[in-house]
Amino acid sequence: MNSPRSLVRSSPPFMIVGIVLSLCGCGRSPDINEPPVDVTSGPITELPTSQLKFEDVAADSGVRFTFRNGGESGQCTILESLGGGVGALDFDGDGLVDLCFAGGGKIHKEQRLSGLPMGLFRNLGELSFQQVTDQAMTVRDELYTHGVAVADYNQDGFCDFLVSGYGAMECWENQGDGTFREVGEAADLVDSSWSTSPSWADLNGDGNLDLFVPHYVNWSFQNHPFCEGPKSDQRDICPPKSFEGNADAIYFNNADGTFSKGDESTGLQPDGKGLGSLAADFDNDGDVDIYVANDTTDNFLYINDGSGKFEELGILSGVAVGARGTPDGSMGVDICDFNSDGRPDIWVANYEREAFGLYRNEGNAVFLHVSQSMGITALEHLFVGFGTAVADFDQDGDEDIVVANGHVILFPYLAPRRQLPLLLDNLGRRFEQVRVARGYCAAPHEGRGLAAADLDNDGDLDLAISHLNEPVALLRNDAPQGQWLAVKLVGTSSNRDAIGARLVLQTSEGVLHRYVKGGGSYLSSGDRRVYWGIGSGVIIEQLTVHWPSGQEQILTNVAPNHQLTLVESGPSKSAETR
Amino acid sequence: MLRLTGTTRARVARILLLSTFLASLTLGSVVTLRQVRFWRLVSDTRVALETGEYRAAIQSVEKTLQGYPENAEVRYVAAVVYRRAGMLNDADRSLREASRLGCADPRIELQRCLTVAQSGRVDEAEPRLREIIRGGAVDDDAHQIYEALVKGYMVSYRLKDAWDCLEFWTAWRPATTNAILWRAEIYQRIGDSKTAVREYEEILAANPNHFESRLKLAELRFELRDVVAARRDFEHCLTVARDAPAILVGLAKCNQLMGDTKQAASFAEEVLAGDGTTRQQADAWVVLGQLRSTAGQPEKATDAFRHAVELVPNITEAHHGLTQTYSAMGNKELAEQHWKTALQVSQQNIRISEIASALAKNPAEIELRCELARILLQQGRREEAERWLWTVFSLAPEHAAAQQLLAAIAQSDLAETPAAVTNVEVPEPSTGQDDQVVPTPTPGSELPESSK
Repeated sequence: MNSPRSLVRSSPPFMIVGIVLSLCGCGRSPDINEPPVDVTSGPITELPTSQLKFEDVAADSGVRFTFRNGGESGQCTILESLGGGVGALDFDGDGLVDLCFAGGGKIHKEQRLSGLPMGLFRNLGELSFQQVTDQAMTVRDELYTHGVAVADYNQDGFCDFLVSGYGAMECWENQGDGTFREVGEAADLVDSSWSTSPSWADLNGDGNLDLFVPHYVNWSFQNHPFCEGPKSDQRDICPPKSFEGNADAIYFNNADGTFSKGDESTGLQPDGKGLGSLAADFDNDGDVDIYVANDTTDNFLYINDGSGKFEELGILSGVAVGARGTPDGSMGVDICDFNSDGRPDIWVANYEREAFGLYRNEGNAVFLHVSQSMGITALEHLFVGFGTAVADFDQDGDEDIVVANGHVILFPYLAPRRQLPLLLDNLGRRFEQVRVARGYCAAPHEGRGLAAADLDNDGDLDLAISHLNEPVALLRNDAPQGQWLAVKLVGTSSNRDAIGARLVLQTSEGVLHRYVKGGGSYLSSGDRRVYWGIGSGVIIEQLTVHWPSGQEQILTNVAPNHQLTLVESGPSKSAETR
Repeated sequence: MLRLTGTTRARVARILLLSTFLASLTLGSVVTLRQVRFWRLVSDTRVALETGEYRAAIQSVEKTLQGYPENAEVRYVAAVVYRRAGMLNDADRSLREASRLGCADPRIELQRCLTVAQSGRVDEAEPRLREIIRGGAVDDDAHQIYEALVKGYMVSYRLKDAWDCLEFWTAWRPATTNAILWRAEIYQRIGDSKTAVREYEEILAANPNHFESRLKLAELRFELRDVVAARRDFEHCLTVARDAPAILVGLAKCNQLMGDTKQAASFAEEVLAGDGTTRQQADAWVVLGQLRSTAGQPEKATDAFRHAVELVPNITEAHHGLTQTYSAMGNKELAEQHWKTALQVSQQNIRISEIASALAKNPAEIELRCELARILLQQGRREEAERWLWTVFSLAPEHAAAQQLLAAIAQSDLAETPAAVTNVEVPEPSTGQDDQVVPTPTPGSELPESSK
């Protein structure tokens, strides 16, 4: 090959100095007389002071738990990148939200996996918790676990939960006496794929909670390629593009303690790399649809015909890809109505250099990607977003956003492995990134699962966050207390958890919509109670509940600053205040 | 007849002598001043060229051409400027003019040779370049040869050769701005964007007004989603070149991501009113389409996206935008049609990236080069396809598939747009960014290591 190397080696004349001012002669120093322009004097965006404020109280609360991903084995499996989730559940029915954390697992040198026990913490009140994993009989170390999906699937009044993981699922049935029993196999919830963030919802309209299970990729130790790190002999975790996606699954509730797996007629796509899922009525037709956040492939929007048969309309609905028209690496999801127009919008946390997706619902199952106009693409730093929640954290009447972030590979290039959590304050016309000077939110973490729940029953939503190989965080919401209202729905004709319900709070300042969802966030389940922040001086005029059964319940003269427990009671109005 | 006394004659003679002297002096001064001005203009051009400020060099040489349209040296310098700035057709025209006006043949030949190298046909040009060097080359010629070789290797995705060439260039003249610029380009192509940023910053530390570096840095920062810094750099560029379409497109996109929709629209409209490339115009239409779509104006957005697609048929964002707007307007059939196109282009672009990545590792993979040309042809990017096919011939002159493809291109050219083809009119190399050809680092290569 005639390389320049050989060319130059034989070319001493290169060093000959040319004639000064010869047209093609050698150069002289550039004569730059123009004054240099100060490149640092660009416009500086001053961020407004935000009321969003969280304090990590995990250490004092008694919640000491760490998800372990087994990365110390050095095998660089994609399994290690997913992390674990958080479940918020009042398993003992005392009105205080307890917490359940997936434990993860170990990756053994001989290419074998084992699980690590979950952490179950009973809320004793005033943000004090007691670990009750042993007492609740939930110690089990077979499954490498990821997600926690909470629901009272057998409608007995006690919260059950499902744990997802690699190669199996565990279904923990609440015995009503402070203990649980694993009934996965007995309930025919046998799933040998790699399950991530399941969503409970009544998908066929029979009043029972069915289960949608997103599956990730076909990784195994037999399909474990070497993916190169920054140096050719350095191994890193392979990206999802190295693997094929797995088909998702639906398990229909037979109402007898067992489930039946949906067949092809359900209309699920044969592929997808599902990490997040969300069940809610996105087209406002009275049944529950499903949104799936896929990693590097198009996200799915399964529109329900009401009988548990779905049509995938992600692309045509505008929620499959980002503004560039290419699929994102999507992880965490949530439903919201950020612009208070009464239509459920979708929020998606994505991979670095891909804007987090805010899809505004335009009606008729058509969405617009509005991240640009809403300031989402103007964020400082690059984020790899996972657990997320959209809620009115500062109780000012609009919904804000939190995201737990962290990288997925060992040697990331652009953004660091440990990343700051993201707080986005809703300023009405756009979201603004909140800068925090100290505490948990000022320090980087490898964040994964996130659940928003009112852990101290003070009317605002706190956060529980799981990390990779780092103790969990319990973030007390310290935003100045405003007016609030919390509603707990108890379905009778509808499923008991009222998943799929739509609540409309009419106030003197406008109408605020909330949705009871299945799934959401990432590998996690948040507080199923519905929360509103209500600006000071604002008067609540009416609360309307649209139950999944189609019934509508209207309450007037609702006072702020307390929790309502509302039991579905048919056409007549009935409210129980607690 | 007037008779003059001896004294008067002597006085007149003195006056005449003085006048002649003064006239000569004035004439000489005029000539000298003109000469000085000439050299100064030429010198300005050279300085701009040396530092890789092609925009400034073009401005300077075109100003000189206005004053000296029939000067062979100026025509020659113009040819050099145009070639180095990638305007090969203009370069060829200027070179022919320089030749007509009497510019020395060896210099003309050198430029032709450099053009061939720069266009990617390095192997064709290298023997002659070697000969020229053996005959003795001044430093500026050496710089030009290095630069043309680097460009040629880059065009044909021989990154390793380009890197070797740059190593020699910088070993000889470490502070050569052009060399640092190209080194940054290689870092960018192998995915080591952070080092590329540092390289651009190094140039800008020495010369904050270096336009090309500032623009490349702005574009790279935008790619890296460092939008605030990118906008700042684009704004800085704007102070140097108020109407450069590349800057206006960059600012439209930055402002769009920053949520400043009015500014974004204003810059996009400015691009459309100017004389940018079709790609820049298409990008501006996409920005407008997206802004209108978000503003709830699907009909207007559709118009904008359609304009974009008419200009650049393979622009994914526009097809995606049309999918959304047709869907919003209830036209599912058209929505699906554009979705399929977007998907196809997107998959092709992924394959292009994969091929580029593989070529960075194994530049001699002829079949991959052919496949790339085929994909580009499918996307209607005939000139780029042709360029890739020429790189096949440089490796395998008799390659049958490449010959067939090139014949097909020639036939379609003749059928559609008959045009004079010269052996030096080769389009400027693609940087890869527009075409989403961004190779990733390759194991075993001796290129600088990237951490990604």
